[in-house]
Amino acid sequence: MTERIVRAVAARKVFRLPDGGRFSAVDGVSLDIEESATVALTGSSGAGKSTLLHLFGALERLDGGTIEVAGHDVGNLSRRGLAAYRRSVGFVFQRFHLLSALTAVDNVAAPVLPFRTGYDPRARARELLELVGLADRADALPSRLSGGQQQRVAIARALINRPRLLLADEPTGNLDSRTSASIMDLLLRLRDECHTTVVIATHDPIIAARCDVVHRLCDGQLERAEPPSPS
Amino acid sequence: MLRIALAQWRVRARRSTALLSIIAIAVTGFTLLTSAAVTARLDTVGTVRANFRPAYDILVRPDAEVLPLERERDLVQSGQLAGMRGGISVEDWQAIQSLDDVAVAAPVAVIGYIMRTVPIRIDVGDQLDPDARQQVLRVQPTWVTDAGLSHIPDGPAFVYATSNVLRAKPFTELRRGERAVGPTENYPDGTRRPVCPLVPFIGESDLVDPTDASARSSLTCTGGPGSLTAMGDPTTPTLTFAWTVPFLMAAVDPVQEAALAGLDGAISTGRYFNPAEAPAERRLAGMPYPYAALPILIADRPQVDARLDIDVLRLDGGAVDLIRRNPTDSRGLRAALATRTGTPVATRSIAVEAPYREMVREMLDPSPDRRSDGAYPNSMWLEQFWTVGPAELTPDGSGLRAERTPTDRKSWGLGGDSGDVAHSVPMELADTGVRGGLAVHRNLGGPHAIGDIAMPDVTLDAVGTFDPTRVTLGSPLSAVPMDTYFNPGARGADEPSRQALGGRLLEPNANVTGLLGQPPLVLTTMAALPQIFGAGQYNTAPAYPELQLDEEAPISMVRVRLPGEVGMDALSRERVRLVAERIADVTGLRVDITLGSSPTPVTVHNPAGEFGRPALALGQPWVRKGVAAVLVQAADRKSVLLSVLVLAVCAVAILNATAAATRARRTELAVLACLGWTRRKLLRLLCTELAGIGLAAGVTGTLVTVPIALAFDLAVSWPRALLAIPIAVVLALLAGAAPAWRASRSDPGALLRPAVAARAARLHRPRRVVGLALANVARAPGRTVLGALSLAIGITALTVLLSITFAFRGAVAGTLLGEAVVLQARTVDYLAVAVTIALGVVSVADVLYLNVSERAAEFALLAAVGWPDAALARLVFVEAVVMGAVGGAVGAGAGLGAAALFAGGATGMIGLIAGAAFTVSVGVSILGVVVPVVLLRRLPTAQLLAQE
Repeated sequence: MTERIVRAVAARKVFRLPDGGRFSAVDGVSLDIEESATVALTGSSGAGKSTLLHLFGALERLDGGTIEVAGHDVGNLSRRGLAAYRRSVGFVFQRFHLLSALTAVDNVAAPVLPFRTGYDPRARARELLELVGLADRADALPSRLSGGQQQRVAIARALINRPRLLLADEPTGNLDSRTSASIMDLLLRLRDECHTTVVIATHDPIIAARCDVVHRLCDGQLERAEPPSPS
Repeated sequence: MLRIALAQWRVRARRSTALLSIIAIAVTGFTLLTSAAVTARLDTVGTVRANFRPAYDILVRPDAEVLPLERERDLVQSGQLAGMRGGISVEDWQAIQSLDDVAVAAPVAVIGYIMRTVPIRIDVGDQLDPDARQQVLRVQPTWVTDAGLSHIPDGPAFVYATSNVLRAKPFTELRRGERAVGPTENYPDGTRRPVCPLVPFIGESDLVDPTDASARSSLTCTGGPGSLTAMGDPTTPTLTFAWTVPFLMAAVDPVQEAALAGLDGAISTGRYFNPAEAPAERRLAGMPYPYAALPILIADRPQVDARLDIDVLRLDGGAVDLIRRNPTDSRGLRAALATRTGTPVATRSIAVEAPYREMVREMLDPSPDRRSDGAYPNSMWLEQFWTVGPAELTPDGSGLRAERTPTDRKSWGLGGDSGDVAHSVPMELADTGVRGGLAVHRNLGGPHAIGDIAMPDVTLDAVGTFDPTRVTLGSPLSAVPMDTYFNPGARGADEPSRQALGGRLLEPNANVTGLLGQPPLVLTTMAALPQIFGAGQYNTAPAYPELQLDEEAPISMVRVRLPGEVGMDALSRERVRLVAERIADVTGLRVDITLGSSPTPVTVHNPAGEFGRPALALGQPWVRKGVAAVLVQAADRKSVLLSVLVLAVCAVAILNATAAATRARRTELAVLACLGWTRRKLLRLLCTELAGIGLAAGVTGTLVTVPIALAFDLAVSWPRALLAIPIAVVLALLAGAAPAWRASRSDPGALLRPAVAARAARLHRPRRVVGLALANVARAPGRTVLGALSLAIGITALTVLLSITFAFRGAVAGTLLGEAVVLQARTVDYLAVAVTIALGVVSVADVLYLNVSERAAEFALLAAVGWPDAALARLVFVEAVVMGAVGGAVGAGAGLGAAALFAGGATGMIGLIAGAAFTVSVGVSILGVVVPVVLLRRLPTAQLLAQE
């Protein structure tokens, strides 16, 4: 029997607009995500999928409702607790956000740089780069890597703390279709090999189709959960 | 164009406000500091001008009296008048007086010390035990001086009191050749016993050290009703101690002294000397030759530190037995009594003021018929006087050391054990001396034949008293040696000495061979000099040539003043120089220009005394010449440097802020370029924005300057305050011109790329946050260099500023005028340092702020992957420290070089200042972290990551 890793109940996030108005990016979303599942959050631009992902990753504060991730009440974390929580999830972004001065292996090790670990971070980073198929590019600077390679480095970085939940915000948004497919292959492989739950925010139906569950958002609200449509 | 610029200011309100604030701070700082520098210079020059002219412009002394230290350091010693023996002839003085452009030439001729003694009566009747038939009291006098550090015990006085009748053989009944003896004590049973032996007559061979305490002890006997002394007076339990004060006597010219020091206006009783007043010739009836009465003025207040403490003890019963058993040996009896113990029954303290007043009164109105004081040589005859040489000083480090100089105290004379209390030599002479050359000069009297009664032919005729505090000494800040009237005393020059003195001054005392010489307390006229220095008037002992009175050149110094106004201007200074040169040519004497000088303490290390005073380092108030010129030069140089430095620091701060603001706009500019804006239009847009911000900052700076100037009491003129506006506009445009020009001409495509990603430096294996921070520093080397450079310029300015401040203080400190000016300039110094540091903080904070702003996404990412706030702050902190260290090293190094150039060489102090400035650099860079860290905590992590 699979366990639930994410539970959102009436989650809400409101942004203030420059003109003084308010905009509900996430408006009363409730959903459960099972462990080791691959879940797609889809919707049009501005539908709230990235915001929901950010709420899961505690990059944004909830304005209402609750979100529990692996037993953590994400809405009630202190600043110190927030940092610790973020280390327990992995995040992959559309624009990779690699540190340009660091090599691929150092970028992967960057999340644990301020901490003492019980392992060699660089050895672990090399293992992860091997996992994502970049063992031979470990010492390259990001500027010497292709978009797909940079995203692989970013995925390896997200895995350095062995997260149970991997959040990917448009991970293929900046990539061509072939590279996008390979990235998606990688994420699915990680789910299978590492038993990592993967939540992907995407507007790409092809990517969504490869997930176990697809949640569609519209104007900040969850329309429905549906099985992926066959590609 | 203006509309777009306004829109930019509104949209980028935070950055625009930051830029405006930095420019406003910079121009405010500039306006305030330049005003403060100018004000400080004016204050300095004003203070110097107000205190430029001392009581006299030129000091003329015999060359032999000038110490090597004076020549080496442009100093003029003071407090040495008492040790001067002359060296200037009356002809020299008259030659000086007759020179053109000399208004006053006031001579001082030191004559020597005369001793004056006043009786201090102590009635111990109340301390006697009324129930005791016989008892002995010991009355112990102790002289307290040297700010209470020296306690000099005098010979004890013993009082034998009996209820029996004491009778002494009246002197009138003594047969020729019969020696007086002590009284007899008549007991009720009819027994008669001699008591209280007298001391046999002593001759010259019996003379001892007059400060020998055992020889100064005495025995007084008092009996019951009916007891009589040898003089036929009733016996009383009264002791009479002698309080002797040496009076230094000098001759001045009445007219010149009145013109120079206003001595005629300082007369407190009697009258002033008449012009050219000469001694009056008088003759006593029956005497073979006339005598000269020297007119004198006496200081109406003592300038000696002295107190007499008296302790009365009732001795034990064994003392009475000693009296009974020793009817003949006075000395042995007193020595034995001195060993007895007793019970304290009374103490008393007497300050010098009242006895001194009594001495002065006695000199003004001599009473020849004072029977009880017959033992004291208080006649107005100038039978003898003493001279003492200068202090024996040897160089010691930056000061001098006074050497212990033993003298033959018998030269003071009157040192015999007479068994009574007539000791007219101050007990303080027993203490350590540092002045040798003691000589006594005895009057030879007039021509007389064998068999005539010999008598002195010089006497003193007091015409009045003067108040030394009322003579004109000039401004305290430019006071020159006026030893004729005043010895201000000396303060401790090191901590142990200050502690020993308890913050008090050490003042001259009655030990004329001691550490400090007293000023003359008796003045006579120049016309009286022949009566003293004339051939055959006085005989000197010992008869060494160097101790003889200088008959040819009796004058010790001449103080010269020029007529009319003598100011700081070059013409006045040249006038004084020419007069000084002419005096030197005419007389061949040592000439010091005292115009523009100021008192400065010179450390003299003095040996410990014999009676409790420890070795003391004293700051003796000498005078440094040419202080005013040094002050004005230093103030001019400092003012110019300060203004230039402030302008440089403010310009760099504005340059940094403006360049950063323009750089932050590059993406937008690139978009506009892509949309077809020409380069010229882009440049105009940027310049409009910068000019607008500069204008607003200038107005803000002007408005802020006024209240700050009022708070700091700085005179900021409106033109200077308004000058801040064009300065702000011009500096903003100049600073922004280069980046704006570059931004308007660069490849739009390149500009659209992220700024920090454009160039990346590889850093291998960052182990920790520090490594990553270093990588970040290397990623934007231009900005790091600019931040470090702006800080470096601030630190250079700070180093130079502190150096010139210390150099300025060093150049002028140590003198009273210099200290006054330094105190005056302190506000502007602190203000300049504060503004420089503030601008340094602003520069660093601005660079860090931009770093954080432009790398916000990276910080957001690190926050997103779980970096705690502390780790993120550390990242910024290390970047700041690196920038601070680089800027500090470069700035301190450059400042060191510049300061060394200014000071004419690198000194240890400049090195220390550079080190301190480096530390300040790192410190302010850390302060600069505050704003960026606050910004970090507010970063919209999710938005930043999504935006990219």
